[in-house]
Formats: sequence, structure tokens, C-alpha cells
Amino acid sequence: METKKLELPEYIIQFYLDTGIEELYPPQEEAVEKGLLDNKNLLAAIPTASGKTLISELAMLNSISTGGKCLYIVPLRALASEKFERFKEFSSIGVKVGISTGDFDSTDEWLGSNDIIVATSEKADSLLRNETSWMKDITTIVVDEIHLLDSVDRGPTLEITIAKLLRLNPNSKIIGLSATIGNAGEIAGWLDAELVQSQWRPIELYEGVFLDDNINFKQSQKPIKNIVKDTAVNLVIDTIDENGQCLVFESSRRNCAGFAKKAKSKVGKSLDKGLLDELNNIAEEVLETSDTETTKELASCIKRGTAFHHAGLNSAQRKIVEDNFRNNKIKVISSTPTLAAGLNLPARRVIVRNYKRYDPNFGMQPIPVLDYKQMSGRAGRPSLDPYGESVLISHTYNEFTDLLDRYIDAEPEDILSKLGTENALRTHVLSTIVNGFATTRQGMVDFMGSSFFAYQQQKWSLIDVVDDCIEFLQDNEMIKDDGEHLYATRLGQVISTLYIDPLSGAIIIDKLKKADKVNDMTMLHIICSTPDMRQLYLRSKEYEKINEYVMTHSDEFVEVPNPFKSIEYEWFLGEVKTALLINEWIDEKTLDDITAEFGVGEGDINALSDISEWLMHSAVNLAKLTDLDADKAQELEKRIHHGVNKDLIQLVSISNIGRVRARKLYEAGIQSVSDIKNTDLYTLSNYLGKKTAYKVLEQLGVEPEDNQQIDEEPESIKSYSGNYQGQKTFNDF
Amino acid sequence: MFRATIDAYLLRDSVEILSVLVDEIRLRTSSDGISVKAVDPANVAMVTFNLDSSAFDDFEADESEIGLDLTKISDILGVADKNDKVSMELNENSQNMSINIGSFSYTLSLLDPSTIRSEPKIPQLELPAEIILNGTDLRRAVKAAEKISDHMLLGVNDDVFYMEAEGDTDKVRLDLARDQLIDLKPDDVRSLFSLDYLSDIVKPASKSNEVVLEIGQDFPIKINFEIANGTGKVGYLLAPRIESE
Repeated sequence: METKKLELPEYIIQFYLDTGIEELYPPQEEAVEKGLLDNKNLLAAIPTASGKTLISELAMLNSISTGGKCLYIVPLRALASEKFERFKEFSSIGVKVGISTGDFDSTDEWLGSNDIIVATSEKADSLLRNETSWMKDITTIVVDEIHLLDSVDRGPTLEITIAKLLRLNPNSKIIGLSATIGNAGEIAGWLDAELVQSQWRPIELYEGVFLDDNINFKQSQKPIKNIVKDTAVNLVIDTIDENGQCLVFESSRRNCAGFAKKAKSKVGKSLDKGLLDELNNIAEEVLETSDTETTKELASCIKRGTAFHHAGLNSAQRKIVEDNFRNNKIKVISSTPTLAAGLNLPARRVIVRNYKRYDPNFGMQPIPVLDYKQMSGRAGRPSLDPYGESVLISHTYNEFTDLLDRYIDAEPEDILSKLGTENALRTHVLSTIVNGFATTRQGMVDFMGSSFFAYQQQKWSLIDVVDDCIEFLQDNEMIKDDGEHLYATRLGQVISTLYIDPLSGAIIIDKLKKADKVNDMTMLHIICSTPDMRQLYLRSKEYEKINEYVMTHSDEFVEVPNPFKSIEYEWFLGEVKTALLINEWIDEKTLDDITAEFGVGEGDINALSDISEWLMHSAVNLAKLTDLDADKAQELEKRIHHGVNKDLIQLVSISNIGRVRARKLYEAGIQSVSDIKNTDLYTLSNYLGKKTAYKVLEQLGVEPEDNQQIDEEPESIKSYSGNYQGQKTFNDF
Repeated sequence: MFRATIDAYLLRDSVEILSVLVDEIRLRTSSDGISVKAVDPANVAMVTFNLDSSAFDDFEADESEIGLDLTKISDILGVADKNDKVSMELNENSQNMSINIGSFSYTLSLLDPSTIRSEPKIPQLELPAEIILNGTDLRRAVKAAEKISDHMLLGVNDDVFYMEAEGDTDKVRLDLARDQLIDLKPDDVRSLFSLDYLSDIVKPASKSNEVVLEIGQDFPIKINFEIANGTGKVGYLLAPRIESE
């Protein structure tokens, strides 16, 4: 179908013609035929890169042209930014786009003037809880990656959010975008949507299994030169020799970094000098983002054209890796499977180096077909590659045939709602009452009856769980029953808008009441013992150290479980370990030391400090509400935000001054805002560098006097040794 | 002028020796033969290379400097059989070189030597310990080390030369006593080296029966050996890494 034949206003058609889209892809055409531009709901379950985004765009722009407002829901923040950047291109045809990130207890009313709002599912849920007014004006809802209904962590929130949105806006149109899954029809049924299902891809995908020096595809074989022992490295070299790029999927972070390091020397040799020079610059850029061991490793890989990508990297590093892979400077990324679910980062060849993943209950388990298809679907960049290839690696003939059956010839699994447990449901039962979507037990059961869980499984199996949740909320005085109606107490309302699990709220209040005296550790452990905290795993060799800490500081914890109850006690030690990490963060330990001591990545520290800051913020609100002492929590909230000791709080509140700079100033006797005001630019420059010093003074309303000649900061002399740790050069002899 | 004929395998070996560190070289010619001095871009490893005119079947040259792209030459040598002869002649006016291998004839454009990194100054080092051993022994030890680590310790203790690598979990060590070596001048020294470099360097060295190592305490290592029946001399110099902990 030609673009110009679409029943859309002229200016929208012109927009697409101008960007070179003259013809629709077959699945897009099918979507239009099935009523995409009429008042029909639609579920598109089609492969990656076959034009899902465009389907949603047509529906949104169509709706906006008649005065509508659209909400675009994504699973990840990174994806939210990616979509936001794309939709901003519509500004040329007068469409306004907003992105909703930020704290969970804000309503973002100002976003209401936009035509398209991009939000994560959690943020969309919290906007509903905060009764954001423009949520009622939504006419088109797009749910990207809707197959994540299957996820234990995010699925329940996603389906409740969809259910609430549809309840709030019964006439709105919903578009679901999904990977190819086994039971797409079932989701379509739930949404009352037309189903577009197809295997069509804009670029051919060949799926193969490697065995005995060959990639074995369905119709053909491709010999791979055996250069080194590691098959995956040989496959990488082969791709680069043919001017392609590679994505390598690994099972763990450690293996990711390991593979990038392993491949770098061979990859580096295949690159020309001009590119290597550019890569050197990129590596320098990475080194500036942080000074941890991981950063140095990443930089040394990038110098040779490889990189690794996982949640342990900080966001700046991830962006550098992604951008430079897109512009074809970095040739290989080895990544954890999370990359497959999220970003649009295709490559000529995808290598699934490890198709097993660790499951705490069952040991190493083969990944689901759905995950494999998500990874292999990343192969082939539309209009850039002639084809895409995905390769699984087998070592024996038996494994080879097993992989063919298990993945290449297999259909993806069905997805299953994960809503049916008390832990998943508790928070949603509360918010449903708080926001008035249900005011009686029967109303609650009815509302939950509109969930995907109830559609897919038995509605009655939800009833028991709903009752348990209601009982829990009543026991903890978050909701009350006046005989006729269920209504939320002030406490219930606060917990719902804080967007924490009601159980977390109950734990925080309970422990604050029991605590005699509250010091840093007491408070940190309280928030680390809530289900909202992401606990660190206790490794067996750490048992002794953490145990020792607990013994010597036992009076700082509200309760210490009996060490003979080993499971409970080990869980407790894990909480303490997490609290200790936060404690080091606010004691101004360097990121490098923390990553080394706790065996985590920099990205983990950021994530943990974000969560704990949020929980501490919640603790402040809850303490105030229940007339408990909130001072300690308030102080800790600020300290966690900046990662500093108490004495620096004033200094770090100035922008441009972070934890390291603040400590330098403080040690030099400049300890408060007024101290800074009384310091001249020259002296300040010694600690902050001239540019920053200037900005800081300006910000504090002091006219910086620049009458003294200050030499520019000396360029820090970076020797090549940033590359190989501890490597000397001949300049040293 | 420069005109020479040489065995293809010998030229290929020579290119390999240099290309482990650099892609482009300044080739010095004189009536005595050819020589190269080069340092890798990171300033971590150097090589000095001399090939006497007697290594050639036919050799005629005066003092000059030629800029060569090693990758191009090794591509060209891809067509050569082991026993082929390669003859080269510099066309001074057109800035290129004719290369004939069997019935193939190539015209190779040359690089302006001034665009290639200049020859390094070779540091004068006092290296107290000297070990002479078979190249394959060295290669074997390095290969074993590569499996578990990215760096390797080389040292001498009493009358034993040892090579040791320690990974995150595993460790490998090779001890060679005086009687397993060709010669040993002992001194209590040890230095740590990056295997990224070392493995590349020992590859060409492994073809030699006698490799001379000179080691100091946390100092660069010298790796010297001969090729072409003693008519060629190769010397690598590799800077150490600092031992952590």
C-alpha cells in the first residue's frame, strides 16, 4: 500500500513522504486494513524492526488530528527517551511531545498540554494514583512491548495500569505492540482488539547453529575460519571481515566483560588505523565518566573495537557504547540478555554464546524461546545489511539437533499473567481503593475481573488473593470498612501515592515504633528490610564478615533474628550487607572501593542509592504521619541523594559541586555557602577549576572578579597506561 | 637505488616480525643490507631488525629510507609459494616499487617516510640476568599463561629461570633449571609483562633454536634471536607492567 493512499490528513502523509516512507510494510498494511485508522483496538505481534513504531504513530497522529491525546507506555526509561526523541520529529507538523520521568509522587500536570506523552508503565501507574487530571483526556493508548505482561516484576503493574486506563477512558483506543508470542490471540481477546500477526521482516533473517567449523542454516552452510580456539571469536572475526557488526549475548555480566576482553586483540588487528584513532578518543571519553576498574576495562576494550554492555555500567557509559555501535565504530558488543528486550541496536550477526541462564531454583536452565527470538531478532540492520544472521553455538551433534528443535524450529511460548499472588496484588488493591476504581469487595473483584489474569485464568482464583490483600490492608489500617464501603485511610493514601509496597510501609512504621534509639545503621537497615529494596546477594565468603559486624553492632538493629534459624538469618545478613553498601556510599567511599568491596557495578550503586533515597523519602513521610521522629530519615535522605557525610550537605546542595569537590572545599576550610561567598575566584579555582569556580560564584550571586591571571587547568597527562593497568612505557626508562 | 631478490618465506617471516608491533615502517637500506627500528603506537614495545645483504640471492642498494605498508606486502606475499623467489626494485621517480613473484608482477605504491612515526631511540639498559633457551620452550610457557591470565612474570631465582602467570583463580608456572637451558647468567630479578604483547613477540621467536632473554628487576625485557642462518638479527624490547599488591 502506498503511503499517499492512507486516509489521513494531507500534512501527515506529507510528513512521511518527506522522510522517504512511500510504501507501507505488509504488517503495517494489514494493520490499516484491520481498522488501525478507524475506531478499532489493535494488537500487533510482529518481529523486531518490522515497523511496529510506525503502526503506533499512524494511530496516534490520526487521533491527534481530531483533537485527541495519546499515552505511549514503555517498559524501560531508556526506551522512553528513545521514543521521545523519535516523536519529537513531529514538532514540524505541530505535534507536541512530552516525557514523564522523575519522582513517583509528582503529578506532572504540566505535561497535559502535550499531544503525546511517553511514560514507563510504573510512571503511568503512579500518575493514575496521583489522579493527574489529563489522564482522563487520553484517547489513544499505546502499550509497547506488551508481552512483558509475562514478567514477574513488571507484568502485574502493566496489566493493572491498562485495566485502570480503560476503566477511566472507556472510549479510548488501545494499540498493543508485542514480540511474536504463542498466545497473541489471547491478549488481543483481552483488549478486544484486532490481531495483526506476522513473521514478515524487512530484511531476511537466517537462523543457524554452529557445529564443526560451519554455521548450519536451514538451506545452506557457511564455513568459518578456525583462527583461535574460541568459536565465538572466530564468528566475530568472520563478521568483521565481511564489514558487519556483531552482538554477542552472554549469560552473566562477568562473561560479557570477559568475552569483550578476549575478542579485543583479534578484533583490533582487523581494524584500520584511522578507526583505531577514533576508538582511542572514544575510550578517553569513557575514562572521563568514572574511574572504576570496570571503566578501565571498558576503555581498553573500546580501543580495540569491542565493548560490553550490562546494567553494571553507568548510564553515560551505556550511551557511549550504544551510540558508537550505531555509527559503526565499535564492532562488537557483548551483552547480557537485557539489551535484547530493550534497545533498538541491531547488528549483522547475533551470536548467542550461551543459551543457558542461572536459575536459583534449578541451576543452569535453557532460556525461553521468546528470549531467544528477541535476541536473534536483533540481527540485520534494515537498509544497511544485506541480511541478518543469528548463530547458536553447539559443541556436539546431540546438542546441535537439540538446539535446532528447541529454538530454530520452535514457536515462542505462551505468556502468562503473573498477577495472581498476594505480593503482586497488594499494592494494586490498595491503589484501586484509594483512587475509587472500587469501593466494595465486590467492586474490587469486578475490577480485578477486567485484568488479563482473570481473562486468561480463572477469575475465582483471584478472589482468595484479593481477600488476603484486603485483610492485610485493614490490619495495617491502610483501608477501613464502614460496613458498606471500603475506603482508604490517610495512611493508605500516602502509601499509594508514594508508590511503595504496602508491606514496605507496614515494615517501616512497625520498626520505627519498636526502635529505642535510631542511628544511621538502624534507619538504613529498616529500609533495606522492605520488599521494595533490591537486596544484595550474600556470598558465602562474606558470611563471616557481615556476621561479625552484626555481632558487634547488634544494638543498632531493631531486631536480630535468631542465628539458628539459618534461612531467616542469612536473609537478614543480606539486608545488612545492602545497608552497609549504602552506608559506605554516604561515608564518601569512592565508587571504585565500593564496587570492589561489594562485587557490584557502578550502575548498581546508582540504582541502589536511587531506591534507598526513595524509600528514605517514604520513611520521612510515614514517620511524620504517625508522629514518629523523622529527623534522622530526613538527614539520611539528603545524604543518600548526594552520597556524602552530614557536614557536606550544605555544600553539595550547590549545583556543580558534587561529593568529591565538596570534600576538597571542606578540608580546605571552606565549609558553608557563606564561606564560598567570602572566597575569591582565584582560591576557589584551586579546588574547583576555574570554569566551575566561576559558575558557582555566579550562581550564589557573587560577581566573580577575574582580575588575576589564572593559568588554564593543566591538561591532565593521560599516559597510555589507562589502557593496560600498570603498563609502563619507554617514557619511563 | 634498491634492487633485491630473496626467498619468499624469509620475506614473509621478516614482515611478520615487524607487523606484530606496527603496520607501517621506515625501511633503511644500505650496501650492507636492510634495517628497521620501530616502536608500537603505545610506546610499550620496540623492535630492531637487521638483515644482511648475504641473506639475499641478489642485493644492490645505496643509503636510503623507504616507507612501506606492511599489510600490503603481506597481502601480496599471500600468492607466493614457500620456495618462490621475490624480487623487488625501487622506481625512484614514480615513488613505487615493482615486486615480482613467479609470474606475478606488482606495482606497490610507497608511503612518504615522513608520515610514519620516526625511529625510536633505543634506551640503554643494564639488564643483569641473561637466559638462552629454545624458542619453542618460551612459546609453550606463554601459551599456557594465556589460558589463565593477561600478564606473566619472568624471573630468575638461584639457578632457575621461571615463568609464572596467575589468573583470578588459577596459576601456572614453568621452572627451567640450568641444565634445561642453553645458558644462564643468574641474578635475582623478576619483571611482569603483558601477554597481549608477549604472545605476539614470541611467535616469530619460537622458530629460533636459541633465544636470548635479558631481564632486570621491574625493567624492560630484551628478546634477541637470529633468523636466516645468522644473517638476520632481531631484537625486541618490551616494557614491564607494574606488579599490583
